[in-house]
Amino acid sequence: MTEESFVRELERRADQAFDGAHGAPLTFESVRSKAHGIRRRRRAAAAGAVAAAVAVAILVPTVLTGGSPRSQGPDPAPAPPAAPGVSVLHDGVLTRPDGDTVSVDVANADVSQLGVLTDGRIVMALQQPYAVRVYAADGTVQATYPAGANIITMSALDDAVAWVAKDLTVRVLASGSAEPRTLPGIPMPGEAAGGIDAVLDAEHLLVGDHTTTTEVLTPGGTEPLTTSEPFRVIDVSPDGDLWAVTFIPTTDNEMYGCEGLYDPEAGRMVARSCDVSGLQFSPDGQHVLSLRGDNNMFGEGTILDLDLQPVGSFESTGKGDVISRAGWADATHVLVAEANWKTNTWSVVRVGLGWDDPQVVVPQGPGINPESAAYLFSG
Amino acid sequence: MTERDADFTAYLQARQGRLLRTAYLLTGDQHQAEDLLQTSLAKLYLAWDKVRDRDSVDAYVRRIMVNENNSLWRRGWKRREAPTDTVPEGTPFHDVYDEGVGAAVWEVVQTLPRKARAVVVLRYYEQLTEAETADVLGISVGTVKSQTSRALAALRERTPADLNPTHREEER
Repeated sequence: MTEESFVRELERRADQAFDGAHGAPLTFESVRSKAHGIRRRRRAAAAGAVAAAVAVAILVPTVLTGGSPRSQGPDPAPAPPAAPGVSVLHDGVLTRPDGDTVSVDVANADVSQLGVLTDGRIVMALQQPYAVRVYAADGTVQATYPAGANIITMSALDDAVAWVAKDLTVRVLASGSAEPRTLPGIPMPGEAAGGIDAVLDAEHLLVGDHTTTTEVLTPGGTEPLTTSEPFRVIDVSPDGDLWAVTFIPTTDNEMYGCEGLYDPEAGRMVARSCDVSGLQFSPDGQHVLSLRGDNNMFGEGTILDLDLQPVGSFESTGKGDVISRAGWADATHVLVAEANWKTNTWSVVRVGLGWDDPQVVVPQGPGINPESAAYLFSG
Repeated sequence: MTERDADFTAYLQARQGRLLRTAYLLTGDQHQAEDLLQTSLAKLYLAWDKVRDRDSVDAYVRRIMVNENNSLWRRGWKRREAPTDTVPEGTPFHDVYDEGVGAAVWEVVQTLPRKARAVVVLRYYEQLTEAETADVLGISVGTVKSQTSRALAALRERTPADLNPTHREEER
């Protein structure tokens, strides 16, 4: 059998299978309808506040006009989902992206990580002893759960948060659900605890050994995750189409390692750079923020496009000026908690994509040693 | 219809026939092929703004199809299958077209592990180069070579003597 005859047999078989009644052509409508379903599943965990808002937005014109959206012409392409901006915790007050504030009885020194769910609840990973505390939207304590580590992982749309419980099972608290759901533990040798690298939705978590993301955890257990090369997922774009990943540092890049953007559908890296760290997607998924530093302070901050090309950046002048925390205020602005470790002064500014046009949010004033975070950002 | 949707519709009409056949060779089942193609094209539609201006839309949708088909975690009906480098002695699936000289070839193709079958389909049906096949599958060119070699060896072993290239070469 020659290669030609082999190819001929494959072609004949494929042609036979779809002759006659088989292989009715797919229509644009059927493909778009399927696409909408996929988009809905990807956004399923946003069922609470976000989905309700969308439903209202669709239903209102329908009711007013007496027709369905479909009867008024073709559906537009699915709108890309957007993540909320960061909330900031400072001196027992949480400031939400819209400027609303709420008092929360906690000291920043006791908090290692902060998240705000779309239903308004505030979730904190606490130090000593490790625990996860959930506050109602009004700032009252709702529940405290013993945890295996002082780490929480928020979903890209802030509609779910996950952590490893003290018994090493995984807990997922979805927006709109009163109690966290228990998922199986992350398979690890001995009594080691695995890590939750990303929360795709309330039922699909990317997990691993803190170095490499190796499995998908669901309520039914774990399934191996096949990727084009080993990496650890550190963030997921709001639409789920891209993952920000970090590679195991090599001797050439021992200090910070290299990071990249991975397309999980295509199974390939779409961008890679050894000049970025801790990539965070913007709320519209069109840019990423990179922060580089040590001792809980960052000397470099960069806003990049999806080719990982810099759009704007900050670099310390070497006179003690550093970034303590930075996060996306909205799709085109980054909120930055600036500090100076020589003078222990602090300020908060809001900058544009070019790391330009700074708007002062909190004027410069005295504060704590910048090795601790006076302003904690949700994320 | 928007320009975006018109572009996508033109691509859909032009390419779906060929892509459906590729899906069938990947899955070995007509209904699964239709499902696979619809899901893959839906995902392509969601990513259309990113890929529409590239020359490699076919490559992108092939990647989606192969990944969707190989996915071990998104689909329950595939969960128990583990990828392997060896060709198992499986019992081939028979369908209504299972007659004629091509049947033996098709039976062997269907016993190949899912990833090895993808290599064969992309290399021989889609006529991709080894490098292109490696790129679509996210594996090395060396793995493409070895998977192809194993698959062809299995074909030689299991196809009737009159289809076996070794016999034909000896006859010459």
